Amino acid sequence: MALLEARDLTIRFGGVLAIDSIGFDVEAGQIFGVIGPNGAGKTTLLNAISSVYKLDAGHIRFEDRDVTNMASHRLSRLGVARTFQIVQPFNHMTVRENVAVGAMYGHARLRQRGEYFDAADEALLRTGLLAKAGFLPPHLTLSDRKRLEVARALAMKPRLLLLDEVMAGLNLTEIERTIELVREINAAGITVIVIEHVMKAVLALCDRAMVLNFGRKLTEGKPLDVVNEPAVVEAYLGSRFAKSHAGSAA
Amino acid sequence: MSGTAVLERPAKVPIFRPMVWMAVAVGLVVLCAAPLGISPYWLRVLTTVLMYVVITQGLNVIVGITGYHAFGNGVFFGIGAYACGSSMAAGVPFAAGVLAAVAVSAACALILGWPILRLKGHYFAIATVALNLAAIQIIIQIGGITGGAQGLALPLSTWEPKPLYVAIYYLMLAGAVVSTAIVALLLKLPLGFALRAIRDSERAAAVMGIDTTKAKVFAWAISAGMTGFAGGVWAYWITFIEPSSAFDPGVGVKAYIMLIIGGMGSILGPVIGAFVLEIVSTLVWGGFLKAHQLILGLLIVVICIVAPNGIIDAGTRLARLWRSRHGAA
Repeated sequence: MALLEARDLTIRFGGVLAIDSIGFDVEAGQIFGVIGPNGAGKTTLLNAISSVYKLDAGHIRFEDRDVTNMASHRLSRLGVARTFQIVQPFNHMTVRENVAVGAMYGHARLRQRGEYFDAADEALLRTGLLAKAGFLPPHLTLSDRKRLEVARALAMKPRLLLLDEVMAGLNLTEIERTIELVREINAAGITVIVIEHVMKAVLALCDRAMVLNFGRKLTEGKPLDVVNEPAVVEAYLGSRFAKSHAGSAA
Repeated sequence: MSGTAVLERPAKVPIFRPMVWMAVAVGLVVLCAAPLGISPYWLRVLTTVLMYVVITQGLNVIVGITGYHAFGNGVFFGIGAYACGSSMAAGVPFAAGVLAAVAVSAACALILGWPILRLKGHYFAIATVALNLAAIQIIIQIGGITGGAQGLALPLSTWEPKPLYVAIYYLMLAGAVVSTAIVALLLKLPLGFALRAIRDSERAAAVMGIDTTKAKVFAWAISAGMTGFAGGVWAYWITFIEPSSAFDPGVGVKAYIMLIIGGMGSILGPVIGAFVLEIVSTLVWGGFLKAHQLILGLLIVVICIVAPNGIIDAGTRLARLWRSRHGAA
């Protein structure tokens, strides 16, 4: 039984099918990648899994429990945590307080002052933010604010972590560091779904990858196999390139 | 985490904490002793100030901490006044009347909050204004125990006026201290963290496991209970209430200005805001009878320009500046 089972996920915005009958399984312990060109529906899919958007059709099971259209806060208590591509820090709370909220209310649900601040410090240590615990988020760099998103999610003690483009806008060194961080998180037993534009990161990290285009699932498989499929090359680089690519490969 | 203390740069810890505590202690002693040496006129002014401290702290919980702009929060002042007035008219003693004021106001917020706190931003703000206007109609239409449009006279106390007014002063003082303590406590509890999280990003708060509707409804009930207390004591103080005075939208607006002047979301901001606005407006009113509204309006505008985040914030900045210059010298 998979940790997360998604079947026929469909969300419409007016007349547009943002995601159309997408189905996949994520096994416990995996790093599962979701890739695709701009507008493919990656973030919509993540919003669907985390119940930020309601599904128009389809259903989701988490740990063999039906969680379709469950309220976000209840889902997070079951152990699903996420980050936001456009970071959503609590700007009037210190970095440490931001992370402590995750420990108070997520899957962890720690209610003693000592406990949730210790859990926050642990998450800050793992994400390398401990030195900035007393800062307010507006005083952080983008890279650090993305780390803050991850730290908050970690403090929730999730079973499944959804990372929404945590590498977008970072430089090469920061990307390396983030790849290492995701590996460590996964090694600690947390299943991860990464939505990513940075192909290098997907290839380096993922056990499995799924490709979306125009709201539909193109293919799914091992990352290296997937990115060499003609349909995927076409989606990213256009049909003419795909033809010449296929020709040169043959 | 032993290594953190050195690197930590506290961004929001108030400077001069001992001095703040000392100022609070001195202020409390002065306020406790005040009725001994002031005229009935100033006793009335100070009682009004303390009443507004309670109302503004109530507003602070929902507006300052949670970020939900309840423009019509004054409705709970009226509900408190009528809950106390109606139950006293029915023969209940004053203490039970005040309890009823707190309980009925908080219950109304729990019941009304469940639907209308699902509204966000401006929609919630407008809904609370609508509540205030609706309440006037409802009280008039009920008639009977509320006195309807004719107003409601509360049973007169058997006490002499002077000790009665001093007692009401101390009751308002107790209310001000307790409501400020509730705000201070709330900010330390997980619920307080949840409310501040909702203020900054409701969407992030929800995916981090906070039941946002429940948290907001609790906050509004706390806010309403405080405001209802002020209304209940006020009703007994002035002994005659009518819909247009109990549900005067001006009550909520004034508390709003006090909150902005003092500093939203802070513990002592509402206290400072209430004192500054009420005392300044009393002095201006006494000195410039014909133009007091104009002068008061100008003063409010000036304060908002000079200290846009409130007096508390401006004071902290000044103190920090002074300390860094002082430290450098």
